[in-house]
Amino acid sequence: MPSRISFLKAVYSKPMPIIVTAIFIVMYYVLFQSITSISNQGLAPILTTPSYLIYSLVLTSAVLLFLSAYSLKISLYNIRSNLGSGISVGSTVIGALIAGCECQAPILSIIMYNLGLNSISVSTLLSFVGEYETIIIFVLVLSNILYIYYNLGKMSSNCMIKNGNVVAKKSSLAKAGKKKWF
Amino acid sequence: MEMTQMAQKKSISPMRSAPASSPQTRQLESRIKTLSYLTYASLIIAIAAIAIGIFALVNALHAQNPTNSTNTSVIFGDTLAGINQPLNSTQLSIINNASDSYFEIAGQMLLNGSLENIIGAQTNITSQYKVDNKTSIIYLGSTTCVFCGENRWAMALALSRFGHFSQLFAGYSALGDHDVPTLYWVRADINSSQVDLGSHYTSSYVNFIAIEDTGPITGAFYLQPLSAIQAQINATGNSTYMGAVSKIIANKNFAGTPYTIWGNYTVPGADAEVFGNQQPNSTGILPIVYMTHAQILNQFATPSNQFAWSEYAAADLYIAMTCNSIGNAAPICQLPAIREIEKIPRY
Repeated sequence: MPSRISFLKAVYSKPMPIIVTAIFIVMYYVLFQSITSISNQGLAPILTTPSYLIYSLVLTSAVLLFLSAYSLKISLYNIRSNLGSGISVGSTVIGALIAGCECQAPILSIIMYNLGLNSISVSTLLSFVGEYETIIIFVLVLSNILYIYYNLGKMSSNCMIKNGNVVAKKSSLAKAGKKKWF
Repeated sequence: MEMTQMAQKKSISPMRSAPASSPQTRQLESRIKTLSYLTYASLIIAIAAIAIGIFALVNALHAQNPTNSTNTSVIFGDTLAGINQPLNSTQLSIINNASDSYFEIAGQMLLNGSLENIIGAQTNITSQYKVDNKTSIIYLGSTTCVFCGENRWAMALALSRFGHFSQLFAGYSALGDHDVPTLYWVRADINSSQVDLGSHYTSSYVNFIAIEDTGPITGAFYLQPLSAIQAQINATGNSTYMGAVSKIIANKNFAGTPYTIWGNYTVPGADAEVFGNQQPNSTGILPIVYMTHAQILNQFATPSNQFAWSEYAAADLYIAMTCNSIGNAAPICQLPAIREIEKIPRY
């Protein structure tokens, strides 16, 4: 059975996946900057999160989104594909809300106040997020990587590489076809 | 014949012979699915716990080697030179005796859009907190916080129009939060987490109620929850500060620091981002980090660049809010620029 790395290479052996992933990277970076900027009341965000973590978050989210969409394209694991997409978007949004946090977190605060929390609860959460901001983003990057690993594992057990292309095995297609996830 | 037919039946593919729709099979599949999700969730939690443990260990090791003047392992600035030193009389005079004309010029620059830095506050209207029948200006911040560090310069300039500082102290935001030179209202505890109250400010127009949360200045941004801050204030028995923190909590718009109340106006955040002569670049070191306190004050003494004018303009916003709250009782309220700013709804 080809390894996960082989499948990753096979997926990205063509220019289109690379182009699409690059577009996702740009999209996620813009999303990240927009959210941190809004958190900063429209001003340039002053970040303390290490840049390499931010770039890692954006990169892994983009790759995860692409692989999730790719799985959907080859008719595999509909619910897991959407879960992967959700994780990639969620981790970027959460990362942006937290990275732009530091001393102030107007977006997070508004959400929490609207959920009915009081100032004490909001400030407690802000203190926690402010203190563990870098660790939380590190965990988000890790969760992206883990889901990419999981996605590739499923791909390797249910697909094959044929003429440099990744194609689903017939048995997997049959199984996916029988299961109506939506 | 029957044996052959039976053999043929047995050779039918496993998929056709498997009871795919039996309840037992569906239950088994569901259990396997749940188990796989649980396994992955456990794996994620375990890796996260290991990561947190590693970070905590690294931080603990770092805390054992406190820095005095330089620390090459921090991301931003690396100086705490002169921290907690009181401003000398000349430096204090720059704040206390700044010319009203500077506030007027800066206000006009703000109104005609000729400032490079972005100045502007999101405000909410609130009822006034009065002590001794005077309007109160309440400040809640953190010594470690970069925005508080930037904001105190504008606050000091604004407050100087309504009163007088007998002392101010050189300070910095945390080394891990941009190490921005700033002012402290009192000598700050820079090693531990506690709440510093008060200032060396007097005024016949307003009360200045300063609540400063402190944390290790060599670390990163740190802020205690409001509940902890309130508990420490309540322990002092000081009714003025107890009332002030209760008012902050009751406002239900605390979103971090700095948090200020200027009479009728709450400002949940800094009213500007003035770190140099233009808007800051999020990936670079803030220009103000390279300035000493003396250099900053000299720029205030004879403002001639965007940085200085922006700080005066940021102060103008606070002045306008205060003037609106005290019925324009102070002389500074008569400046044309202040009058114009007062007309803007959120000020």
